[in-house]
Amino acid sequence: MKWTLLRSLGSLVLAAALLAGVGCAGSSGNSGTGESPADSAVPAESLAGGESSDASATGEESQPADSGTQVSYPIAAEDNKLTFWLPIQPIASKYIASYNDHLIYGLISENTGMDVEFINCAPADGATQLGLLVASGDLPDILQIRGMYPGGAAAGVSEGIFADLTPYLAQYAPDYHTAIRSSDLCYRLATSEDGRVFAFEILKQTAPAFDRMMYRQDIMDRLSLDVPVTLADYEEDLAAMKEAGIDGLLLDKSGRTPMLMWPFGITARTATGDEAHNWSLDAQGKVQFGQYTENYREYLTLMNSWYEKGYIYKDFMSNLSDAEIHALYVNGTVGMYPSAVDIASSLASANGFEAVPLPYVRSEEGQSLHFERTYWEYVPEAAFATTVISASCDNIEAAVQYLNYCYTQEGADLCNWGVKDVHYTEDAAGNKTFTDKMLNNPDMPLADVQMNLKLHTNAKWAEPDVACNPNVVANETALALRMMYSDDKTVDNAQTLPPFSLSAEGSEKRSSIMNDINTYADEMTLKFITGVTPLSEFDSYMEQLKAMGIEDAITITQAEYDTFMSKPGLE
Amino acid sequence: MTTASGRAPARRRRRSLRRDWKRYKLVYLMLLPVLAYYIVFHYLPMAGVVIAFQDYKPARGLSGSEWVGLKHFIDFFSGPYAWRLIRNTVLLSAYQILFAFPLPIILALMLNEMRAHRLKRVCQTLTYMPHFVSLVVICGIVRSFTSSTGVITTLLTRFGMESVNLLSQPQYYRSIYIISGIWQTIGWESIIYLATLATVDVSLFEAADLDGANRAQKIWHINLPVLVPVIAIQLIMRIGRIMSEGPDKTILLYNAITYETADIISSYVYRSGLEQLNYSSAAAIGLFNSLINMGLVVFANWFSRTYAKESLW
Repeated sequence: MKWTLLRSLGSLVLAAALLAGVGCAGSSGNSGTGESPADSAVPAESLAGGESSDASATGEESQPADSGTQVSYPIAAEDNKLTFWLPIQPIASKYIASYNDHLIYGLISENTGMDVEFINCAPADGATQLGLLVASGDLPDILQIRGMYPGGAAAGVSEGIFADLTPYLAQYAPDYHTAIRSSDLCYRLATSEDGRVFAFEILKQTAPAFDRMMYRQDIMDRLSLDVPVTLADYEEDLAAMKEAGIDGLLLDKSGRTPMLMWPFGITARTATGDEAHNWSLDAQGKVQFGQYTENYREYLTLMNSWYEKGYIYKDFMSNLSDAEIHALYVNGTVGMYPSAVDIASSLASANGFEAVPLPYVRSEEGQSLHFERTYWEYVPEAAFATTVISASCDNIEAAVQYLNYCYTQEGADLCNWGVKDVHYTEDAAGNKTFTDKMLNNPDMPLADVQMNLKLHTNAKWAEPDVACNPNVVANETALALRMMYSDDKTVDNAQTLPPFSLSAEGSEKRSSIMNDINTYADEMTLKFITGVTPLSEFDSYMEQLKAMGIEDAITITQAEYDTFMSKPGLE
Repeated sequence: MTTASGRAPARRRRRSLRRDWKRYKLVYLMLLPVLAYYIVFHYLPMAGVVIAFQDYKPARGLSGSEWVGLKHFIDFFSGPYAWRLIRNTVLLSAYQILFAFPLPIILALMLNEMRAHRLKRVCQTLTYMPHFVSLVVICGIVRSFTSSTGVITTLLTRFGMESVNLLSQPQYYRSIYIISGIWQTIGWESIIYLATLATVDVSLFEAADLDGANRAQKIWHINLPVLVPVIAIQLIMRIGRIMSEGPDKTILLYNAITYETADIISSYVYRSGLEQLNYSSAAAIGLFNSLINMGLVVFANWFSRTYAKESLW
């Protein structure tokens, strides 16, 4: 009793110290709370022929051999009360006060026979709220931590606040147990170094890619330009646009547009991208930091020459908001910009012009590119819907069975499609189609359906959005644009690092080095592109990165990558 | 009132306190919640600064986290950007005190001289309007006015300047930050001075008129002396915030290319600390800021007491 009081005082102390100490009020961090842009995709087979892979992985017949109990719903538990903490999606909170009122969560509770009380917070405050919860020592039974807990679920388990789920999995979560074994990669990503499981992760295909370079058909027609393929083609198009008074290309505000870097054999994160996107493999398969390579000099040289010639929108580096960026594209101030295909195409159709997704940029025709960070197989999407059970939960078996539900066929359908015969219909062959309630709902715009009449951000077996996101499938043209170039056989993920999480120690060490390096590299990248610093200074830039310890960061990443690659997979 | 050796006054005060307590018991009881608020939310949390000397992990708590001594301070100061951050923070604040602090006073004096009441009120309203506009909107306006095709840039190109995005030029960053700040806050901050000026005894002006004083002399000899205590206290408090320039506006206006002049301690902490839930190093830097701020307040207070005969304590 006294101890709890002390602990909760501790949380107050922490809260106030943070507020008073730094005064960084309100402004949200973006650590993993946002929607992932890779929220996508289905393989071509699955679009064509229903979800065959789904059935094989979640079907009842594929129970693990050693499971003594068959999990059946509703769950037969003496104590059927659970508490569930998770951030509420802003779109959902337009309609409901908390997930206690959410249609699908309600049905899941009903079908599993559990009485679940949801505790919600705004995603922007998620990390702070989670920190306070943990400091208070009084954790709810289930928590959707996403990427908000430093060090992830593994750190929480080693600190003794989250439960190690390994002993429960085979018996109480047979469907999840089977699902993570759908491929070797999936298994490696879902388990720790020694094969333990700490969390339920959303399992999904992340291909086809979400982002393309987006062009405008009307500009192409007016200036009689073709679809550009190589960098030289781009240069010609940009020159023609410059002649016509159009600013050509809008670069990412960091100056690093990954798809323009790939032809140079490197990649890097964008201004809002995750640190993990900065790391890739070189042609020999060694870990590289794209901005610490000779290839980066070539990329910067080209961007600098385009900038000097006026091919790049001059103010690209200023803090443009999404709305401002959209306006530039819609007004025709810029001819092309990197964007999510569906956003650009819906902007275009709303404003009466045609958006054209461009094929992958190459230095010469036929060049193969290995930096597309997407997977055709089902993999855990890191930090998107990571859900853990607290160590203090006195009903772990029931909680595990409850979370397993969304990996059963019935539960997954409920999450992905909504309620059968109300939100979707299923034909004899098992093909599902949304009803008008999803596609033409008079009470909510199409974009809101995804968060309200089905579940989007929860730990589940997820069908990709090109199969079951109402906003994407409602419009055939948009869907076709979205799928363009996703069958490009010369593009793959061979030179990307798999989305594994670093060890707590490794990530702490690396981020303490990278803080200053990122500040320096961000600054210099823009200075090189805009010509404030001449490219003859590039050697001293490399020297400075070295002095700041980039080699150590590369060594750490290489070691973590080696550990991941050598850990035991499926036998 | 407070004589150091006065025994009699002390006893008198004690007695009056007792009488006070008897008479206003309920009023004193009403004070309790406020005291409790300060103790719980302002004094107890001070113990939380120990996390600056720990590798704080919420799961391990204050008692269980590992002690690392001055590690976070050393990390910050041995980093390549520590001095740049301190320099930028101090310079930004110093320029604000130099340029932005006196202007509301001048505005108040000017408004006070306006005899046309309606016009005066219109001016006042117009100048303090921007205060009520959200900072995000203000910064959006600033960004669009200073873009390579923005109003201000276009105007400046008439005088021979190159058409560039002004916010991508480190040398202009501080001016833009401070001038936009003046525009946003000048009216609001002049209110306290205007209110003080309204308390000036009219008979003083009548006397001055009889002595043949002109307007400037009246401002200099009557209005300004009335303002001195307020100015002194405002200045002391402003100096106490030198190191704690908030991150909001910086984050909205800067970009990597202007880090050289724009990156300040709080924006750096935001980027490196809070985005990664690095509580301890954020607390360490916060503690450092607070110590410097406190030192400055003590100094400013002493300075003001010595030279302007006005002080907070």
